[in-house]
Amino acid sequence: MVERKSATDIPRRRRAIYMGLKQYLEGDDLLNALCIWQQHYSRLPKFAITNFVRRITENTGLASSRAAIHLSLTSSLMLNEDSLGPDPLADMRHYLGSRLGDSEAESILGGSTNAPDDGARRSDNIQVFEILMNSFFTGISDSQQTAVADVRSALLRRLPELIRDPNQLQAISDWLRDGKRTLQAELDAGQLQQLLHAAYVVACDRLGPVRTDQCLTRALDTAERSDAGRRQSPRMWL
Amino acid sequence: MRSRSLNYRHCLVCLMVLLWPIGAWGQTETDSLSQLAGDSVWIVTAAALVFFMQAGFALLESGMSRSKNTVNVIMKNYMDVCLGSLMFWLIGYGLMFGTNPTGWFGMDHFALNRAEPGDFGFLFFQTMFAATAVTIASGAMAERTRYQGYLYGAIIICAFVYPVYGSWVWGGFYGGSGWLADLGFIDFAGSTVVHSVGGWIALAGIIVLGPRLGRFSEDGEPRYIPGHNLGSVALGGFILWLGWFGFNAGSTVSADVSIGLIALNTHLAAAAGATGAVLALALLRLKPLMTMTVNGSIGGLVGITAGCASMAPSYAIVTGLIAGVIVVLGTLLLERIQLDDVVGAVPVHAFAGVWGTLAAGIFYSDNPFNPEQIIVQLIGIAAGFVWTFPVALIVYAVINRFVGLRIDTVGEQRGLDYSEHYEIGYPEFQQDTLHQGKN
Repeated sequence: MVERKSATDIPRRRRAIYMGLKQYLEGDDLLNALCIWQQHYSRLPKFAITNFVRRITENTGLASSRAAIHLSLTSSLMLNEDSLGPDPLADMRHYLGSRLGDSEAESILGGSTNAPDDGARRSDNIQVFEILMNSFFTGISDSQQTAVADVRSALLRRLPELIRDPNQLQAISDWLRDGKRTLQAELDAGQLQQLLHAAYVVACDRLGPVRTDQCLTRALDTAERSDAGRRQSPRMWL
Repeated sequence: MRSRSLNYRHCLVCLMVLLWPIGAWGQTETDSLSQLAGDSVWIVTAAALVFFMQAGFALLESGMSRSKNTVNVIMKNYMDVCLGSLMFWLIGYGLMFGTNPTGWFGMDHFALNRAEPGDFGFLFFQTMFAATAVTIASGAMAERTRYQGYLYGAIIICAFVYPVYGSWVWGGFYGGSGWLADLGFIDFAGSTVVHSVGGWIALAGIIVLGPRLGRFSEDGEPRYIPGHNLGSVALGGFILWLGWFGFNAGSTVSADVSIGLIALNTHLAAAAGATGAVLALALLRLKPLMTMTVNGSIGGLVGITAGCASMAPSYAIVTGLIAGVIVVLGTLLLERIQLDDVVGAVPVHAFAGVWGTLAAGIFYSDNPFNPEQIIVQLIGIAAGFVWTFPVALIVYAVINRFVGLRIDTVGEQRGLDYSEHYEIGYPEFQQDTLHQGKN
């Protein structure tokens, strides 16, 4: 009902975009358009699809089909998973790799995958997330000494709703219980966003929304100034 | 010769006697047309002043909200005027002012295209009233309401909820009359018809929505969520005050000498409302908050709206003063029962409107303190609540169920400007809290 563009939904929407575009584009043009969507539009609200269509039809022979393409995409985005075609991610990776090199291709597409072995990117994600959350907790503690323990325990209670994998659940629970531990889990962007948001909601209940917003803003600033934060923006989880 | 001259004079006198009524009729017709033209100029000017109140609402409500919700608040104000005006022209005006043989609703003059010139001015003026009634809820429901769901509500209110009650009090412009009007209910410019109705709708909205994230602690303590721009709150208050001169004095629907008293009463009640709020805050040992002071003056304006044409200035001051106190007490009451009204629309419009309607009966200049009139006023007030509140509650509950009225917590975290409109009010200052997508 309510719009929400989480990273976990990206594979489904990528398949929908692929399905909606393939009757208008083919070969490299299609893969290029998919890469543009992946890189620039996959995390934007649904209205942004209009900008995407404009971008891929500008200066091409498709300008007259803009409305039809838009309709095709909005229709395919409404389909459920069973009705969608295959995920074009492997073809996109191959397409980008052959032009930009594997590492660059991975940096563009990596954040969207749920593959367990995208090491460097995943580490950056986790590092930045850790800095962000620790700074957020510190801010809460500075505002109200006892609040941070309440926020951590409330978050622990909510974890089973957010994380299904038992190993991941255990790792995050350990990290939340012991503030000095490092987070030893590989989590995708969607999971990280859900965790941050759950912490935000719990902090709002404990501190009120104004202080929570202030703490989050300061934490975001700290995370963005870190080395990992310069490579991987934490804003994608906001 | 003399005889001929006499005959000539006789004929001239007879002719003058015969033509005199025709000349007098011509003079009367000219005066009547001049009066009609003057009335039209006044009513259209007053309507423009009432329209300007929308700017006041937009500034006041956005100023009392956090910066991340500014665009959303203003967009709701903007679009409820637009959609509300269209719906009122299409359906609402006919329901409210069309021929009303039953006393319950009008039955013609829908989608008015052909009418007397004066009717168009009246429709224009009343459209602004409808837009005012519908926009009251937006401030109360700010910062957590989905844009689409809110607009569905605004359409239904302007087309149906507001006009039906309005027909009971002001109906029968083209024949028949409303049942409350028949009882002798006094609500000159709409303390109940416009403001309490808007306030009850706001109350229903905030009950369906629930409070903003973190507005109340687990043990029920309210947390203050300050608005982001108190300057615009004050400016909005001044604009509303100015617009109210059109709202009340325009309700004469004619350019006559009574508008002096009406405008004076309006001004005195607003001043007394602010004073009443400040006094109440002082007596309760609370800080003299600017937002509460502005709300106090608006409460005074709402309070005097029903009786502005029928009470002496001293009573207008009493009415405004008490309305200001009611605004403060009403705000505290809502906080105590954990209802989150962002701008204080319910105490300002609903509670002060109830008081003002009662005061119009109590201080009625022709027959003050008449118990029968007071009972009629109470019946009208109760009818306003009994009709508006449950219907609005159902409307918002249905919208919430099938369209979605409450934004999810992610949207609330990001702010409705970004999550609902993909547009932000202060791009230079809000970069730090924006989702990556906007960069």
